[in-house]
Amino acid sequence: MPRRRDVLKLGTVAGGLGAISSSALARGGVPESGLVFPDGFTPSIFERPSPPATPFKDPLYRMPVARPVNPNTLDPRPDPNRHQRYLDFPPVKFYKEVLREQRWRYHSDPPYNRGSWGYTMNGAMPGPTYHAYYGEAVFVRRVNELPAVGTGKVSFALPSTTMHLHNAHTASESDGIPTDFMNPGEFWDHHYANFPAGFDTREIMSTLWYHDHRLDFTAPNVYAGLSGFYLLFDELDSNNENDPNPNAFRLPSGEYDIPLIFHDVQYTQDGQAVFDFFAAGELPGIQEKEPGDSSIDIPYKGTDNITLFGMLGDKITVNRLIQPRLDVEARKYRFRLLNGGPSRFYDFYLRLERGGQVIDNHPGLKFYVLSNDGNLLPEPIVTEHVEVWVANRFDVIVDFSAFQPGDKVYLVNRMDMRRDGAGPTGRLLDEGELAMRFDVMPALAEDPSRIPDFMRELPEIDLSEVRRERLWVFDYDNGLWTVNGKLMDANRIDAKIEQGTAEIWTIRNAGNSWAHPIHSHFEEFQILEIDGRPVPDGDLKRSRKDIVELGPNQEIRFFGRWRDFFGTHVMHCHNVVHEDHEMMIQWRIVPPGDGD
Amino acid sequence: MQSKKPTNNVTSQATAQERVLQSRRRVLAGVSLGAAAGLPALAFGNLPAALVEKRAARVIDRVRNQGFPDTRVTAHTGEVFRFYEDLVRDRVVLINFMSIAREPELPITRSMAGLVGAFGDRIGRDIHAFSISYDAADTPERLARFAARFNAPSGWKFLAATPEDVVALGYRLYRTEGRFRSSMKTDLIHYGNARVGLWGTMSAEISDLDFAVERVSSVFPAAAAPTGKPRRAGPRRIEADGPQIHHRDRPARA
Repeated sequence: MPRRRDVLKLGTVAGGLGAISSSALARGGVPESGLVFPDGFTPSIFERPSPPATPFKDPLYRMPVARPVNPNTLDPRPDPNRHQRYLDFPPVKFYKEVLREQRWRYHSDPPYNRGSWGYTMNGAMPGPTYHAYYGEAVFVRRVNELPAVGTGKVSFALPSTTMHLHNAHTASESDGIPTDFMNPGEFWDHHYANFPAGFDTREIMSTLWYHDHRLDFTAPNVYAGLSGFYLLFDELDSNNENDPNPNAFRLPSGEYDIPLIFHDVQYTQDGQAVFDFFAAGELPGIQEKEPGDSSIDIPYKGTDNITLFGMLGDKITVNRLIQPRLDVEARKYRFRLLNGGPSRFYDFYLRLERGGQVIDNHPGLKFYVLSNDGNLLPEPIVTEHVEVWVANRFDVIVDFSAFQPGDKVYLVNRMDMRRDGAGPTGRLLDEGELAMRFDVMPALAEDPSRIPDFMRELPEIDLSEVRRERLWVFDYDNGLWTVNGKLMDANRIDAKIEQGTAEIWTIRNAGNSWAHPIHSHFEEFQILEIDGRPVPDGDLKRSRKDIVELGPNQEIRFFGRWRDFFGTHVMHCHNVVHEDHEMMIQWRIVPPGDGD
Repeated sequence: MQSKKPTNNVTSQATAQERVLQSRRRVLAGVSLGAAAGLPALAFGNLPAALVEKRAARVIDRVRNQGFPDTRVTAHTGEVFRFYEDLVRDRVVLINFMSIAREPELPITRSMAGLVGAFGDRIGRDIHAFSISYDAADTPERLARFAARFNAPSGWKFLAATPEDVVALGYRLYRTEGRFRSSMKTDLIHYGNARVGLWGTMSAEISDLDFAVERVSSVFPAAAAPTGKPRRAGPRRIEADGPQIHHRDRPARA
């Protein structure tokens, strides 16, 4: 993938306007999916598909920005004695986030228009977007007002939750580890100190997200609604495209900085989200027999999205709306792409429709990638596609000034997933699935935003800091997802890391067909090698990461530091169905001399 | 429709295992298929593997509520049950797979005994436990002697079933055909509330019994959440005593 400066220098932008006939659009419709079935096998998500919903009918949902509350209204008051380094980083903003079960309208067509029961945060799904600033610590009180087990409408999720702030440099007790759950009628306080790891400004992060992390129930709880964005700004990435500071990046901001979270969801004929066939009640599409009928010939309608392997839905939602549309001005936008899971991976491309013709190679169909896992890169990278595994975050700029008013630009997912949800097939879909549409309008004003030449340098990798190396083997064993041959044990600490040291971890996939997005909490790391080869300069993976994209048989080594706090965190597969079935380890930051 | 994507070394490996898996799915879908390899001999007694897999596919065709094959099982007490209708429906349950012969290597029954003991007289009333043997040698009579070794209360039943029924239940709970490979040093205990449709798993290596009980208790039917002032769940005070396993102020109410 070329760096942006090289592209500008060489003028190698793929040129030429070519029209291809797209069967998808020529048919006047949009494919529900490009999935192809081998040998007549029909997966269950097609055996009993979700009800149809008119694509690109509803405008994109823009989550509200979280609004602080007066701390005096918090009863009881925040207690500094419950948090590490609270007084080092006294909160300047206080928030209250209430979790409830409510109906959410995924689409305006029936049956979706009556609403699907799910879990909301302050009435929103996804939850409110936090705008936080380096140097301004934040306090969030989360209150669980979900109905107790058996009294709610969402059957598959557990109304007990712990909210993890993904990629945050946050003390264990505020991190939202799997065992720190709150039950209905309870609250939990989170202190987010918002300082860069090691006070190194090169460790400043941008796009974080929060999501449920409940032990054994993360997949259904996130699927039920519990996810949202937490954005961090600083004086360079300042949330102001008109910033007079000459060093500011002036990335598209305000209306033009749009977080997009992708969840694939499966619905009943009533428009209710279903998780799997563990769900109570009658299975959609399965014919129940009359009472007294003892025959054994009930047709089995497939279980393919209903496994310990993964959960796939047949509707791609963006900010919890099915295939929305967005009016965009002919100018630059910053999109923050986040795969919220549970199990589907995406490979996003852009596609242009102009005057009924589909154009796949227009020079404007490209992403200027700003970040990997939400951490700004040393410099933007230009690419025509972005592969987004579960929990990956990529900030990208799309410059719609390359298009004409009236153009329609589609965000297309071309990743073909194994139908059991355990990973990609390795095939690239030709048509793919259209996740959302951008309708190009004239620009209302001059575009003051910029694509900077340089952003954040990578922190140096100093091997002299390395105290030890560790090997983590992710495997599948007869129905079990294991790490180093073990299942997660909340009472077992798998690594004791000395505070202030660095380690090199090797993450190995012993499976030859599974794929695992492996996430380690607390502090981002840098990949040293993938299958023994260093990451080349200009590669997207030459970046600060919190996810290792572990393909079949792959082995990835990374360098990481553990600083500033003590306590327990986890590393796990972020295919959250694998995580729930115990593909997780715990590590603990301990004082120097206490390590293993 | 599809094209190979040569540049993507991460995902370009459509593998033999994937093909095997698809084959298995075809069995499940009732489509004919040649190979049925790799099934563990233990589960089958003297039956040929291919025959068992074929029969298991037919058993899975009998799926009823919540995807459970409603198989006929014989308890160590000699009673015969339909697994879903008689034992699981509307209950909070613990389910595991085991074998008498493998217990020394993988002491999952010992873990179950700990859990069952911790629930005390709630076992059989609020929660029921089922241990399914995947070993055809584990007759109800042998299971009865085994259960006695663990002082199993009446709410904890050891179940024997035909090999194909065991395989079908294994597919349901793990999506895998068999129950034991010699490499297996651990296993899952399933817990769930069948009335609500809530299902979780935990490792059979239970190192903190109180916490395991708390985990299972989280799926018990509960009264409506209190409408009064919310209670603090945590984090507890830094200097306060408490388990290392979490930062909660106090154990959750069951």
